[in-house]
Amino acid sequence: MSSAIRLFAPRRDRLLETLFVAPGLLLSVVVFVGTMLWTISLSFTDSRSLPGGRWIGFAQYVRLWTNDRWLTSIGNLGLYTLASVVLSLSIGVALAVVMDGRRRGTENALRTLFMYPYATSMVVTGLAWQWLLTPSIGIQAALRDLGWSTGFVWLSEPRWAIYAVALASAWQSAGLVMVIVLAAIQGLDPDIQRAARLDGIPRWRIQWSIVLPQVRGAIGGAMLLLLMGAVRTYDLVVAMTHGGPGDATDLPARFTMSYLFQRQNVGLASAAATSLLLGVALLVACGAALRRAGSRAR
Amino acid sequence: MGTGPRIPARCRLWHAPCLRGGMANVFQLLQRKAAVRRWATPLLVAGGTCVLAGCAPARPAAPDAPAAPIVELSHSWTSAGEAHALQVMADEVVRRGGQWRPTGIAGFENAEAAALNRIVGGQPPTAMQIVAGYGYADLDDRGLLRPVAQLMTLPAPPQALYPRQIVDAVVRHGRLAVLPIDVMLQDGLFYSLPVLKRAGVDSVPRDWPGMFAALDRIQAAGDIPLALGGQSWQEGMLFDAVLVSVIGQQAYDAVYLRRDTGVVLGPDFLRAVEIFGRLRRYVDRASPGRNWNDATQLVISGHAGFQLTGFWAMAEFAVAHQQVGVDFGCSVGFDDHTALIGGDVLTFPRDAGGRALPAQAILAQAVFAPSVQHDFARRLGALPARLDVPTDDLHPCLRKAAAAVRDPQAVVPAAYLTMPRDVEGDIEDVISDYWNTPDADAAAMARRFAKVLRNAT
Repeated sequence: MSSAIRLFAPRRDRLLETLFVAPGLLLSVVVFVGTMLWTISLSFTDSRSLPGGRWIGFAQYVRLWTNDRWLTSIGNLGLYTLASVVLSLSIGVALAVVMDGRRRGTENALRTLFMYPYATSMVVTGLAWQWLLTPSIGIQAALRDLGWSTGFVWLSEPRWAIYAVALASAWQSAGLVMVIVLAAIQGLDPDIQRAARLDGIPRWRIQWSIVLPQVRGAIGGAMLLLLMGAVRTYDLVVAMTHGGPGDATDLPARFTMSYLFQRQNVGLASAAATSLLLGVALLVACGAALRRAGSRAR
Repeated sequence: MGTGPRIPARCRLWHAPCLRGGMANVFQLLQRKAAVRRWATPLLVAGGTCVLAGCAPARPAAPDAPAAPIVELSHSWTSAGEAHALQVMADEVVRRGGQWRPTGIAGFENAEAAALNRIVGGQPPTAMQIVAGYGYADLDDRGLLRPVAQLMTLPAPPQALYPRQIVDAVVRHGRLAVLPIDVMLQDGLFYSLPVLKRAGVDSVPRDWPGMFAALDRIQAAGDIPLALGGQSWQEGMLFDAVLVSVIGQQAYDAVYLRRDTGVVLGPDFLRAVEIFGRLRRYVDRASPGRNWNDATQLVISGHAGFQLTGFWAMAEFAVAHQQVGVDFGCSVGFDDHTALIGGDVLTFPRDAGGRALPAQAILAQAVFAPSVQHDFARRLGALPARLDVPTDDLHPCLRKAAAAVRDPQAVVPAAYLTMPRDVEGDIEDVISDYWNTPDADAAAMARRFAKVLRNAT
């Protein structure tokens, strides 16, 4: 609606608005689009520690997509994204459903409690979970002291380490999902639920078949946020595992950063960043197409 | 607005009649916009703060007397021991008439990235400390560095001053491109004497069968045989030390200096890879991701028998008041013979107009001075880069290392001295991948290793 109003606003007003917006717009075009284009162009060069270098076509892309570590990091990203998004969404939505209908004081206290992890930075989250999962001092040590012998050494197991990182990520972001979904639930028309209760429908069934379908949009929005967060994950892994054991928790962002600085291959790092960007753009385009198809069907 | 509008309500900023009213009208108009009203005060405050902050450093113009050249060194020596060592350099710079302005950033890659940005942006520091090797090659190729000869005259050619492996890494196109500061030993084998005693290991074995027997006994005694920080660079360091102890100096040079894939695919290399793989079972499960100094703490606290790491770890033993020969021991590599060396260098960025020349000359001469070479290395747990500086009063561990460095048959370069960082990184990945895959095939690892060498440019 607001954009429609703006379209029909007097031309002079629009001029003033344009003037006000221009610096910000210019800045974002130069900073975001400009640097993006520059990165893409660098990916076709043999730049080492400094940008520049000779034009070498797609050679960096060939090198990138035959690099074992890159392929591993892409696979890791898939597992990590799937695990962390599913975990965050299910925990967050479950919390929201449980919290709905509690007394205001209880709800506020619990909401603060569950939101709290989101206020800690990824680095702190990563370190805290690293300590929790260190066999000699963390959860495993506690369980052992209680007399249970467990094999809970996720961070040392290449096969499990990526799920440990996903768990830490879910711990951090589930609260955010909860708040988004809870807000959506509380914005619903209560009469529908009241009517359902009058009809004698059990509470879980009301939540599952009446409440959740109505907050589909909020859940979708939360999922989009989580997906974007997952793709750019860097600090969590650096703090928690350094990408290890081996390359078991290496992610594309960490790969890119390490070739950009430590390994002094700006060309390869740019190719990695560009590939990631293309992948994300493709996902976003697919999502947009699906949404459009969905709204047309409705 | 309380004074009442004096201008028509329909008036817009760009209406000539409104503008005729002057700035007062413009302000009134702006005040009418709710958004402007809301943001004007915070913006003014923020703007004012910026202006004040910008003006504050603008002190009155400096007096005409020539001020002491400002020596701004970008470095990554930020730990307590390193800062203590850096003081040696600072004192000498001040003594030679410079003003000392260090910029320390933790983590050498972070410090390098920051300094590189400044060099490319045309505001270089006086000098930048980086690790020796290929890190500066790009800068040199683009003419962004000032060769050392422009800052000082060396008393002898570099070949006569520094170990050959360092010379290979600092001389480019026949001239000294960067100035060596120190030599770092990468293959110190540190061990806890109480742990060895508990396990009944009387002397440190110098061959692999003996070493495995000792590791087994430590494990049987309930301690961690080998303390390892499970990060890829530390796994790589361990591999290189194992490699040189198994295949010897010449074959090691063939692998890293000549990139001879024949040696990599040969039987000796394979044996080294297998020995390296056997070491996995002597490392505790909390190793992955551990920092090197935490691994050193395991040795210091008597929880672990051995650690292979750089000689920089000696600072940790010193801080913990550990006595060599009483609490801990050290060897140069697994064979107590071969030194795997790297080191730090100073690069001098070229600035427009050569204004940095006096400061760069002061710093270069200070770092080259024998007293600084000696004291700096001593405090850092390194060796002086110059071979002609006496090392008799260094720590006993370092004296062993110094003897090894002076023996041309007993020195090999660290991998990073011999190849670009991305190639070295790719090799590190191969090693780390092998280490962290318990059932990995040694021959497949050698093939991947050879592939990286072949594809390297």
